[in-house]
Amino acid sequence: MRKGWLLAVMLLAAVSSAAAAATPPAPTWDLPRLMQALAQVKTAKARFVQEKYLWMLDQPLKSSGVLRYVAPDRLEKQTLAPQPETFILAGNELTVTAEGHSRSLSLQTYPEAGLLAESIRAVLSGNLVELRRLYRLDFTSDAAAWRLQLVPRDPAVAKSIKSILIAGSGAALGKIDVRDNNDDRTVMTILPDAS
Amino acid sequence: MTRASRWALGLWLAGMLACALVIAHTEFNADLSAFLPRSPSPAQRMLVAQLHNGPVSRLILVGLEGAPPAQLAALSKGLAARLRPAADFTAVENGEDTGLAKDRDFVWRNRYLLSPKVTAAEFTAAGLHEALTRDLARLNSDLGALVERTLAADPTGEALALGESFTGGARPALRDGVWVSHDGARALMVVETRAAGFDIDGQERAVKLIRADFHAVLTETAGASGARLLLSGPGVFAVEMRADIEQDVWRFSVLATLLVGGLLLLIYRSPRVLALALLPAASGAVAGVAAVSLGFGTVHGATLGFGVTLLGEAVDYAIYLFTRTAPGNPAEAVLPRLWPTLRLGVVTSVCAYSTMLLSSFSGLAQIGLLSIVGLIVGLAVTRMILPALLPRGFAAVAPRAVGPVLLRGTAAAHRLRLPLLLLVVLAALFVFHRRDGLWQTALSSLSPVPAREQQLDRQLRRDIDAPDVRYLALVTAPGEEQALEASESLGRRLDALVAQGVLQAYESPARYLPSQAAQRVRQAAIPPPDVLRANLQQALTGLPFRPDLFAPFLKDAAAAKRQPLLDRASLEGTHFARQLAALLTRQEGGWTATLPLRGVSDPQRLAAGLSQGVPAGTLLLDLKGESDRLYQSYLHEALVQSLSGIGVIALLLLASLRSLRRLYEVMAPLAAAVLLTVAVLAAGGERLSIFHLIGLLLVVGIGSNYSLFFERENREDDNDAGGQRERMVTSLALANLCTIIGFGVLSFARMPVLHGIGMTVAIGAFLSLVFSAILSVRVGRGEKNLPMTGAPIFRRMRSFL
Repeated sequence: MRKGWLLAVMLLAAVSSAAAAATPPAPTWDLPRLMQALAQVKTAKARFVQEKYLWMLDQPLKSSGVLRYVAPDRLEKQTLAPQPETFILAGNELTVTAEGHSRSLSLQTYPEAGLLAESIRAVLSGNLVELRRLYRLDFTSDAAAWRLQLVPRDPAVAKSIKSILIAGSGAALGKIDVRDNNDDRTVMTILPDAS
Repeated sequence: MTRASRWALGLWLAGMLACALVIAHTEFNADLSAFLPRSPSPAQRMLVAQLHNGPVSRLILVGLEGAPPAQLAALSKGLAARLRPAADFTAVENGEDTGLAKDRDFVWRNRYLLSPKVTAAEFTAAGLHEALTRDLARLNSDLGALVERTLAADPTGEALALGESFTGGARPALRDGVWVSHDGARALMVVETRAAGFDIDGQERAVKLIRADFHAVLTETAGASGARLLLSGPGVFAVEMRADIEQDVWRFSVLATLLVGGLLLLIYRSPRVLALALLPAASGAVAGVAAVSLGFGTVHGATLGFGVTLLGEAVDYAIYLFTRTAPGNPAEAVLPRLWPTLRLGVVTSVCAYSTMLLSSFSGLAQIGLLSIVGLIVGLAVTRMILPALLPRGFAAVAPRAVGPVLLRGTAAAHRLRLPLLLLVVLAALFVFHRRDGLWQTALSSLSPVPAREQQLDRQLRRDIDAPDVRYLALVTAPGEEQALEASESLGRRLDALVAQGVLQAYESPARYLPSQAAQRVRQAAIPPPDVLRANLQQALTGLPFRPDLFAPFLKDAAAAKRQPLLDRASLEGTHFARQLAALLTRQEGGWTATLPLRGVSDPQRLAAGLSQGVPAGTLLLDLKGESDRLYQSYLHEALVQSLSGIGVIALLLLASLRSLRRLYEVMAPLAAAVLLTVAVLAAGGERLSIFHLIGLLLVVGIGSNYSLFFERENREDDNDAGGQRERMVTSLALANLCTIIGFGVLSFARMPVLHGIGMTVAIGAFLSLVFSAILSVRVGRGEKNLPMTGAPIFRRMRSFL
């Protein structure tokens, strides 16, 4: 289920950025200000396009759909194509509905998943201290764009996740790129114009 | 002391000694099933056996509540960690992932033998292409990681499908890593004891260990001080019931002895008289318990509890004797006059208890035997032993204040006839009005497990998502392998019914251990390695999978084709072993496979669907319907027994009284008492069960003693200047009070059988006495010498009005 957690992190960043896009862009970004902007998001909606590059396959797998976020802790990814699927993270519960089945999992069941969940909460609350405890952060920006790279500190998590790269310009997020140690890569492109 | 009475005394002593010896070697039990009917059908017998010592009987449901969720989860984990290493438990599950590795490994290694999906079609090029296309879609989904890990070795998804079917979707919700109820207020665990359900000592050890460990964990867990531990399950019930019964029997015996003793002491003011009065009852109880021990092998705790009522009844005989004994009227002279009424009274009581002897409940039969032997011995001791032990010139000091008051009361009682008639009519109307809710309709009302605990059990079962299964498909075969094959054949039928929406799902032992035949078919369905490789190659055309990705699949499939077949021993160490043991049981005459059916939406189509094309020996069991039908049949049986018991009592009385009119005089108060008792019980919110019905029969049996005395006294001693009648009334009132005490204390018992009978008889006995007094007819001098036979009942009716 590790990839599920990766996805949750991505989702959070994506929808938050969609909401952040509505606020007027500040002249320059630093990390505290970005976190502050993320923390202020109460509810948001965005479209996404996702590409999965898996070591098993010669070609990427594509999907698209809608993202929703409701503060403080509800995250929803609704895939519309190629197959309908819903992924909901609410509190400590993760529910995935696919192929007509619904599965529920608790965050605490898997320790490394729990760690990721903590990081989600840290991001949700704009808790930079907590985020720094879980990840090594690398923030770079220029006038046009910024990049935030998260590298897990916990060895158990690091065993599967190599890095999470969030890129944006101004107050808007454009892309979340997650790499794992299988050389698998998932790239989500966010289209800010919701609805 | 005469020679004869010396002999009698010697005989009595020897008898008591023998009884004491028997009792010393008696095994006392608290077997719950003693007060459940013996189940007539084989399937029900099998079920009862399963509940008695099957794996189900070894499960304890544990609930933790009363603390914040995080603390409950910590308690659950802490408690489980302490219980897991203990030798008393074979499994401790609370939703934590521990112990599942073995299960996963077993499924993974044997996926091609276990999976019903394995057919020849699945491994053709077309079949594989379909599977690979599905895999691609799954990889793209958010559950992709689930597939990715196993894809190379299991492209057809056998392990995934098996995992889904084993968990069955019905698992409790998880919170903080442990099972919780739907509302999250309770953490849940399931514990399996090593001791069988009927091993109450073993169960008690297990329960004590859980409680002790809970308290230890409680003190270690911060912020959990308010947490409570809830336990349920057959073993827990058995332990609690045994403790309850022991406590109840002890408490009621002491209470009744104190009350009856205190009353007698108050009236007679002589410890010696008190001791003598208790002698028949004590002798009767000792003999009764010994008789039950000899007749049934063991004595149930509740039977012992019922012995208390003997105190209330057999003490009456001594009271009748004492109250009439006076200087110049020695016991030897009193007895012959008292004897016919006393004897008739005992015979009617014995009649009433005899119907219990015929009952389908072994517990009720025990109570019947205890009472019959107890009463007869009590009467014999009163007749043979007591007079010899009474000091010469003995006179029970008649209470001066009580007698006249009672006498005035009875003299004036006949004025209450009209109100009584009105009361009877009102009661009849009330009972008629409440007729629908009057009777208990569920078998559970007979269960010795108190309603409160039954409720807790239902709640925990709902929480743990293990709802009481209502429908079961059972199939019996001569051997284990045949039973598994039959389950598979039945399973195919059920699959079709699931597809039709008749039911949602079913469990089957063949899911955990497929028959050897099915395993061989699955092995044969896997093509030889080179064929499979070619099929796969063809299937991969047009799909983006990397070449050689599926080498592990080819290797595992080839190995599966040659691997040894699974048997019962292969499951050892996994949770499936227990599932299999629960679902596939060895019975006398063969093996029975149990297939619990879930979510049955159309019982009729289910029954029709399973009526043909299924293996021989298939049986569909509707547990609730069956048990309700069973209850109705027992209610009917009890009704017939009670009515015939009353009929026999009436015939006996008629034979003895030789007059319809006198029979009416004796029976009318009893009929009124029975009716009013039902009304009082109904008004008090009691739902009548078989036990109340038995109680009503006893009201007639015991109440007839009072009305007989009234009736008899009315015909005699008219010229006794009130002395004898006053004593009669006093002794009846006293005897009645003792009976009410004896049965009354039982109405506080937690076991339905003791509570139901105790309450009914206590109320009924009191009403019988009062109504006998009200309806008793003092025979005028002119009437006294009329022939007794054939007196018109109509005249009585007139006097009643």
